[in-house]
Amino acid sequence: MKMFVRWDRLHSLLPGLLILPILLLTSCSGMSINMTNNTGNLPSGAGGKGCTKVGVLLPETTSSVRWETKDHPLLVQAIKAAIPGVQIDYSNAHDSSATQLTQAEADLANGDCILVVGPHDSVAAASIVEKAKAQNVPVIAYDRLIQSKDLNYYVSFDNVKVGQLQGQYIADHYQEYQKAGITPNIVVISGSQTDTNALLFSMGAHSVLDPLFANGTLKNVAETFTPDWIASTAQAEMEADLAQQQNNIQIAYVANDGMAGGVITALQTAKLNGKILVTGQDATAEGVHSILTGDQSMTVYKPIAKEAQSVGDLVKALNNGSDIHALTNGVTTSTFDGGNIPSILDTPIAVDRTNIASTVIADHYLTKADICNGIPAGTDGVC
Amino acid sequence: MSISQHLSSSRSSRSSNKRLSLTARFSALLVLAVVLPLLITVVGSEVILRPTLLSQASTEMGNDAQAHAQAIDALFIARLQDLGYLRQFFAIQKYLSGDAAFKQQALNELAVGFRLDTNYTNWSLLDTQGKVRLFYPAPPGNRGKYSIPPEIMQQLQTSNKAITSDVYFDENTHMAYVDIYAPVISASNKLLGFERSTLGLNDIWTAVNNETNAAPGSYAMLIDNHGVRIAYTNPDTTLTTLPQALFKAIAPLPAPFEQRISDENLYGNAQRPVSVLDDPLATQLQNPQGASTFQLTPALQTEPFQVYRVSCQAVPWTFVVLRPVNTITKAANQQDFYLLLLAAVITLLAALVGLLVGRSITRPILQSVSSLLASSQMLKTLAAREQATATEQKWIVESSQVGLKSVQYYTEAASVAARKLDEMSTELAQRWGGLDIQRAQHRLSEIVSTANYIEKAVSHQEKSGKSLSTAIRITTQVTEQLLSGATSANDAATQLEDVIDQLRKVVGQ
Repeated sequence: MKMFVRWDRLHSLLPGLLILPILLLTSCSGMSINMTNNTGNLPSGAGGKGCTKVGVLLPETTSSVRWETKDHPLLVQAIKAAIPGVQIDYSNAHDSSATQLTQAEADLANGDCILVVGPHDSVAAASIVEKAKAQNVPVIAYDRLIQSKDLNYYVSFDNVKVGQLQGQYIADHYQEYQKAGITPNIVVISGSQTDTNALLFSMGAHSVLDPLFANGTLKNVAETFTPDWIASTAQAEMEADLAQQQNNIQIAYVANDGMAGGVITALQTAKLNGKILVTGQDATAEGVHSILTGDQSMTVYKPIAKEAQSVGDLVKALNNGSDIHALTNGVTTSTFDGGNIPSILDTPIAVDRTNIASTVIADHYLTKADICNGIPAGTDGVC
Repeated sequence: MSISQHLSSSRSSRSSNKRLSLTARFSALLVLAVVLPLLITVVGSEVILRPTLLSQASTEMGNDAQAHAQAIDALFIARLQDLGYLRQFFAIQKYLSGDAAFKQQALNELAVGFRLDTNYTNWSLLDTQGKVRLFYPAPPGNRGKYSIPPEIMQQLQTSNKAITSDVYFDENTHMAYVDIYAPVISASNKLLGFERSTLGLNDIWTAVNNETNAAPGSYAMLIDNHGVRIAYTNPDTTLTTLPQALFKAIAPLPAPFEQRISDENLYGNAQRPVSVLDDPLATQLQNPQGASTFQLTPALQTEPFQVYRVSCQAVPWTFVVLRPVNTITKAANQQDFYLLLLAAVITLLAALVGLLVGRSITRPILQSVSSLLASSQMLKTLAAREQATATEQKWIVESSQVGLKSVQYYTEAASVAARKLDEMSTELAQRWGGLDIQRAQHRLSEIVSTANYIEKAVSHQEKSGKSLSTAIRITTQVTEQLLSGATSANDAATQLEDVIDQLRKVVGQ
């Protein structure tokens, strides 16, 4: 009888026993939902005014050593000089847009009130701008534009100017390579078609060269873009052009030093190296070395220290709440969605054998050891 | 609860207990004990696993849709930039401003633009009236009745931005395309003309077609700002036919836009008139701020789908990924199926085991019940016998009392008679000489009467003695019967002790 009384009690408890674990489980899941939703109220960035915590986010380490060896230390130095006692949260996205977004979120959660972002992906990084805007944290796009009308500032080099310097060098020196009475033939080997900077370089170069093409001073015999800026592709393009023109080429507009190296290899095979005007960009050690050997005519030096200093100036102005217009001089860069982003576009410098010592060496951007290997002592007053 | 209520409930409880045998109840309890955890797991699966799977799938679909939308944005931003930069090229500006010397170089620059993306099919320059001035690689055709649709021309004349057209369809290549326009403006801010690139949507269609690889039954579509499906996963893997829903609107279109479709030959309307294929998606897409993920049964489908939508930023399009709910919850369904199958098998086994164990438990109890029944019958018989014996004993006692009284009475009477005989004998002896005959005869007559009386009394005493003797014999018999009854009661008690032992063995105490 007792047993059945117990059974009766158990029977009445059963629904409870059944529901209890479910309630526990659902309450657990509810808890996790609450936890994930609990983003909390983060402090406002106050538009950067009085900011003492700055996030610096750079894109990668693989395609170029510049980000870690140049940009990182120079940015830290410039920002520390701009805001004494500033805390800098540095991170590198290692070629991942998702990682960069996570890093930016962490910086914002950490209370960073200015973000300096070298975007890994110009489109994907718009999410960073959106999140920062929600907390009134200004974002400075560094070196590469972020495609968002909400981006606050853009610091880079004037890439059209880079092309103009290259084109102008051709305009100024083509005669040195011209055969008497014959219009010099020029091939245009641009950078990667997926890189908008390549278009800007090309645009700048064309702004100088197109009148020369139109009036017959120069003849544009081939123009190509080089996927991913690959030197060997540029070499193949040059070989094809030489074959097509039966080596009758006097000028090679080459968008950067890396590709110029490939072009020079093609010219060496044709025994034309040193006899054709070859342009470049980036003032790499190899490029400057080729200038010293005479295989390359010029390069374009973009002093990263200057670019980093522009970021420092901007951060300081934001911290002080002072007028940014004095820094940007009204220059804007447009984004696809109709934004006009106040920009500091630093001016690049054309470098040839006449000013190596006064530019890249003087700035300690390169050392003699970097560029003088195999160069006779006293060459151009550099080595 | 009152005593009567308690008794009533106790009674009803007893009556309900009577409905199920112990074996059945034991089986049921065992089944419950075994199946309950499985049922809890099934319920847990319903409450937690299923929503978790749906949430995970939504996240996957969200990432997928975001990635596709981002890729479309990146593509269009890059292409808008192509046009935005190329329109600033020196030769293009000079040619459109009327300097024919720049024609070849302008053409070179159109070729440069054309090579920027393999999906470009045409680049052209148009004057401010919309007349084509230069093109690469082939002359572009009209868009329906126009070289530049009026709406686009109007926007180009009032804005400096690059503009993406609605979608067209090339019947020859079986491929959709859009035009991207940008005004060409001189340094002195004068409108010189327009630049147009024509971009095939091959890569976008490929991405939408590849959505079937994401999960079984999954597909995707791209819906433009007018509610027309401009890309739709093609079930024909050979791609020789177009998907049924392609270029069909998800809801009725406004009349002015229908007119535009006709005038501009949008969506290949001339060969394949645009029609409406109603879709519940329309309700969801009406609210751009609405939920990103939801469930519905889309057009041409018969089962519910989980849907994730993402709006593109660079073009007014919405990327929609759809995945059958069944495939998402397949793991939970399978788990539930196996759990229920397991529960059914275990229920069967538990019921059988419960039945066997219940029977082994109830067998001794039933045997005990039989023994108790036999004891009860025995005790009843014994009680009946003892009742009869008691009645007999009562009768015997009463008879003995009567006999005893009778004996006492006749003993006393005999004593009185004997005393009287003694008195009369003494009187006769003392007065023998003085007695007259009559008196002597009278005395003798009295003596004879008294002697007769004594004889009668003795006779009655004998009878009473006989009765008492009978009573004693009967009493002896009754005593024997009582002895026999006591033996039977002892046997019954022993039997009950056996039953108790058996029950103790059953309950283990």
